[in-house]
Amino acid sequence: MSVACTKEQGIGIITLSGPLTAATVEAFREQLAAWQAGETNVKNFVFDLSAVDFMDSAGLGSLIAALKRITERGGDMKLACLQKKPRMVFEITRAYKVFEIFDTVEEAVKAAKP
Amino acid sequence: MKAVLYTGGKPSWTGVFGDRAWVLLPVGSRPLLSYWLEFCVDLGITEVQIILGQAAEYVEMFCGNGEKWGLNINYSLIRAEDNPQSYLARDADRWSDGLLYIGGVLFPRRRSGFTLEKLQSLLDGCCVVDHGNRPVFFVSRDRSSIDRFIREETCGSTPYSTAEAAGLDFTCIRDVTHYYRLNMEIVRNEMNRYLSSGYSSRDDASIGYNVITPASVTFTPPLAVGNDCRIGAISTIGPCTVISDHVLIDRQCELSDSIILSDTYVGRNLEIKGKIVAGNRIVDPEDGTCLEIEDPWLVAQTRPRNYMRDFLRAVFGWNFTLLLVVLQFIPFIILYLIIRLLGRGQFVSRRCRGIGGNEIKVLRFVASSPVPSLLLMIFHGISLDRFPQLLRVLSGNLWLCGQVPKAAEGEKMKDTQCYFPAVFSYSDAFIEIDKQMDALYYAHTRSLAADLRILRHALFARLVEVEIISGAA
Repeated sequence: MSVACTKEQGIGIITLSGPLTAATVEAFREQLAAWQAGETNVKNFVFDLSAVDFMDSAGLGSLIAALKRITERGGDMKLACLQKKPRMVFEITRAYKVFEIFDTVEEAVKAAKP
Repeated sequence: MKAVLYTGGKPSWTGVFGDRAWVLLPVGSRPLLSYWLEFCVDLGITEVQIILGQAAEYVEMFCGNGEKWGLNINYSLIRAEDNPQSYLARDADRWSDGLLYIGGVLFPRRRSGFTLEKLQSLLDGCCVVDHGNRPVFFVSRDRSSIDRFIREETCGSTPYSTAEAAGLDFTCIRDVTHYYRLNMEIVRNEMNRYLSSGYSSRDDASIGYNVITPASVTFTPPLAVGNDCRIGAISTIGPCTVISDHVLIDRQCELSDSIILSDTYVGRNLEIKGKIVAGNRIVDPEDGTCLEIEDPWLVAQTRPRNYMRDFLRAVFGWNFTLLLVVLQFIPFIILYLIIRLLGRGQFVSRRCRGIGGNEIKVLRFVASSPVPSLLLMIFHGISLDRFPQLLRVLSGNLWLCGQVPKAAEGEKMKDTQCYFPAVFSYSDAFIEIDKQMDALYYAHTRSLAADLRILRHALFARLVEVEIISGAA
């Protein structure tokens, strides 16, 4: 699992690659927290999941935890480019009701703008 | 006349469902094979030979000796290099008085005007090929036609009756999408064509036997539920849902436009819409995408009895218990003496059902005050209150991990196949539980890994837990 964090129009773009599972969530959490610590003025985030080919309940839990942290700080979090298999996990666990999911990063960024 | 049913040669599209027997895939509320067997009965055939292939033991377990259908079923295995016709050719005289052969994913779909009288016209001879031009259905009483079918491995040019004339539509299921759509069409409009006499489809719901549902479950027809299923509270089933045999649906689930294959557990609070669930696999029928889930709390394959697995659990449990007893012995003696001297609590004897359903006495710790003290918290936190029960594991009366033991009331339990009374259970590990559902879940998914998981959670949870069983409780 690799996490690439950039800033675009004041919005944090978090690009994840690889499976987001119990084995990789710790690395994801640590990398995200480290970037957030250095970019305290970024409140809104878009998570680009186009390269996440698999996700389990632990991976989903880590995204929900990230959403909780971000919203607690008054920010917003959008998901973009969900692949088929992770999308199925979102569907069966009803997580699609919790997140705003967009087909492209551009659409998500547009929606995330304050 | 004799019937030969070929259950080998696994069709490639059924691979997404794992290693389960493709002839046991449900169509409507029943496995495909049961329609074949009923077809034999409808044609007046009593002698059935089933050629086994993949998942042979499950096919044999399902059919038994055929008594259930009034059939006499025998089994045979063929070599991997043989095809069914070469098997038939080995003893050609055996089929001389008539042969019914079914050997593909063929569903004898009944048309709206179907009658048993019309079906008899098939006996004049009929042959159907699949999409690869391979014969998947053959019936005839004419010896020369049978010989030609066996020898040429094709339908040949013999004049045959047609499926249409018999009120049937032989559907060769070609892929997952076709399989899903066939099921949906049947559950929506055609369930009443396959009802046994005495049954009614007035409410568009077909429910098998031994289906346990709390009053809070909502059924929205049309739907079909197989045998031996349990559906958790506040779940919504339907519309257009097919649930096969031995399925556990945990509480607060919503299922619609879906097929749940046999021996499947569907976890709590899930929403299954437009999917096929086969054990721990979720399949999107529209494009065949298969998601294999490793988390057994979401979806899981329930398993039949496995003696090696239980043996391993027993060996591990006994040795781990011995270790716990050795570690806890001195702390237990010291702390329990202090607790007794201060009058803070004591063990009381309760009768419950142990391994094999035998009545045993188990000591349970009861605190004398509902207010937790540091001493009691330590006693509880390091599980010293379970020390006497651990001794029951060493004497072979309880498992280390399993289900909450049932209270001993009335006669000895009859069915102990799925009963694993234990010192630690899911109720120790997780706060929000449904004891009945968790007991069933454990019985079907038990393994050494599951036991380790319970132990890890239970021992840790008890360390941080402050609630002490009070005398009032």
